[in-house]
Amino acid sequence: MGDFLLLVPIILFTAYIVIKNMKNVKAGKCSCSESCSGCNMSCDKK
Amino acid sequence: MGHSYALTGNPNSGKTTIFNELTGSAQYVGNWSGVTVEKKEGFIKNSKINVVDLPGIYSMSSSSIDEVIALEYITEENPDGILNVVSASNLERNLYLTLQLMEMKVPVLMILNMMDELSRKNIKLDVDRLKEIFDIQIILTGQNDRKNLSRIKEIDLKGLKSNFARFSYFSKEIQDGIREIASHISLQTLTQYKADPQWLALKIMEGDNKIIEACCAKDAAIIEKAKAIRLIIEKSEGVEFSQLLAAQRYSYLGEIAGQVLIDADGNMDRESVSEKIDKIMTHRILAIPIFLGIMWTIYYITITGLGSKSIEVMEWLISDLFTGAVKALMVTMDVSTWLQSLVIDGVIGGVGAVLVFIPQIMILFFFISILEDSGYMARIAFVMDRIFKKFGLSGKSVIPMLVGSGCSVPGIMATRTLENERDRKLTILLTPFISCGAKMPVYLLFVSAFFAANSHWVVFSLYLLGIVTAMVSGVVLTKVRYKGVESDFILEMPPYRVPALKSVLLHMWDKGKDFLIRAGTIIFAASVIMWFAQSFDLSFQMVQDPSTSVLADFGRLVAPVFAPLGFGDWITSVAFITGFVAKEIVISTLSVLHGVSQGALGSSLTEFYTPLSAYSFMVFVLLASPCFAAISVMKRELGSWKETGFSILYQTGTAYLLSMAVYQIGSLFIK
Repeated sequence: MGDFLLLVPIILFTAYIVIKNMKNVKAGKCSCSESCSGCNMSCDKK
Repeated sequence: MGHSYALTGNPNSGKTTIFNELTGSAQYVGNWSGVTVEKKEGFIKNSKINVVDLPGIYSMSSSSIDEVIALEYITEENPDGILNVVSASNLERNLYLTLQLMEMKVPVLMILNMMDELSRKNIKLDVDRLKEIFDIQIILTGQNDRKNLSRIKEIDLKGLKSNFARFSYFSKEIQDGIREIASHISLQTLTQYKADPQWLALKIMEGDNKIIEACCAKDAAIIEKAKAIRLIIEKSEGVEFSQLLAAQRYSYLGEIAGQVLIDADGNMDRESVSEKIDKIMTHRILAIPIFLGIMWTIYYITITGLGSKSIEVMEWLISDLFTGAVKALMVTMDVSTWLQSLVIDGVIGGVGAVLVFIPQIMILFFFISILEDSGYMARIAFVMDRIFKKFGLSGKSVIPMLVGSGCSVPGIMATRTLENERDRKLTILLTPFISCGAKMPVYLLFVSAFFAANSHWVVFSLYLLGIVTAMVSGVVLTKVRYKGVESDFILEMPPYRVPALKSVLLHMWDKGKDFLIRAGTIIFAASVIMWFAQSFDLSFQMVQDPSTSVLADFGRLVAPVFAPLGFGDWITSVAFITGFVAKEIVISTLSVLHGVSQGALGSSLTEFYTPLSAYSFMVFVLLASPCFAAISVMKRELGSWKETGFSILYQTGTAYLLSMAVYQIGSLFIK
């Protein structure tokens, strides 16, 4: 039970991050983070 | 229904500070030009008024991308009004933009900023007279006095009219030309392109291609007529039409300045404190040693001084305290041994290896933002401009490279201020050579393991190597690929200011937060993937020894490529490749694959590298192609995969050759 509780969130979170970053890179957005001060220039609202 | 206002102003007029103040945002502010290169938007606090912060521009032409962004927004989005930030400390030049906005016949509210700087010089400004001339409302504000800004909410700009006598300062021929062309602009054009006909006429006469394309490209007759008038005027005056317009506008603004600025003590012509400081800071001989001295001191404090203590504290926090607690919890939860390894060696090992360096990164950016806010960064651009010109690069390339020392992504974006396409492409290619913040943890790990006594010297040398490589590449590429003449560079020297603590801390926190978020997302994900890849073989069987894993098989395939660089092992090869995702992942990969905690990673590396191969490794990390985020922005800004591919190949090829040179030549002397 302990294994399941730990492994599932790790796998899901990893998959989410990978997919989100791949989408960002494909769209030409920065993939670091929305809060990154430097990247604000490319991540902000158009 | 709320209103929409556009915020415009010259670079470094305090526009972004006012935007932050109005909207409660925390956009980055710097005491130098070119901080805003894209439009940003937000709502004025406690109101439905939407404000769009446009890039800082000097005029409403379309010669560079930042000017096009501002011009397109005003002409195509038709905001209800313009909030025009004007720096009182440089009135004449700032009013040049105001004059052009008035020519567009759009509702303008002037925010007269930096009034306190004018007071410090004991110069008075007749605001009532200025109001009278432009027939607009003016709000006064200063660096330490923003309370008047709340009045913006009370003023409805929509439909606001001004009786300002626009175009009256132009010669009769130009005024007649404007009237003539305006009378020929069709109703259909004005319905489609909602702009004032006389302003449109002036732009067509100027030959502004962006505007002509947008409004009346099909109306060949009007374009020809405007061109004919322009040529007649140019012939009779003997200067280019755009220069004539600028000269007549400036002559008028000179008269306005004479009427509104009261300089009883003659302080305007007196040498200011900033000018006195600049005599030393931008001195022909002293400037470069001063710049190098400042950067060396920053690296010394960050790495050897304050920073080295922070590593010990962070290692204790992560390796002992946090890891110990998590391990105890997992034992209590009866978690399997392999899953414990995933969490401890994979997640905490990988993420923790980067987190250890966060305080040092924050200290570094504390000092960098002091340089920016004080106005010294603009001086660095000025000093570097002299050198860059000798290498065939435009001085304007300096600004993106300085921005790129934080992160390559905004550095590449900052190339939008370059009008010349050749300069822009070249600068996009060269900016990633400048050491960015994400590479810093890699250096910190290696210098602490191999060069403990001279760590700041080594990191400083890498910083210089990045600059020198960019300059030498500039020479090579302008000869073979980006031929042409570099454009001139007009640089505004902002006055020196005592950095605002809030702004410095905000910038420092932003950098720290950025690293924390990256550690919790992309580095977390990469560490988990690395752990799985080093735990299974090709037949999906779990392995005890990572050197028999599928990742090791892949690493061994690539390893011979890196052997001439001094590190032909599979772990380093994999670390390099994962570094393309994000540079910090190099560390988390090394940590996971070496299977050691943050504290022991340094000593584990000493078994694999010599100081020479460690330096060669850092050179490769410094110069090789930037991370995916920067590559995707490069592609967007270059607009072609061909150009982007060439940039990646050039950067990685240069990294490979220099890294190999370091190792091979170094091996002749160091055994």
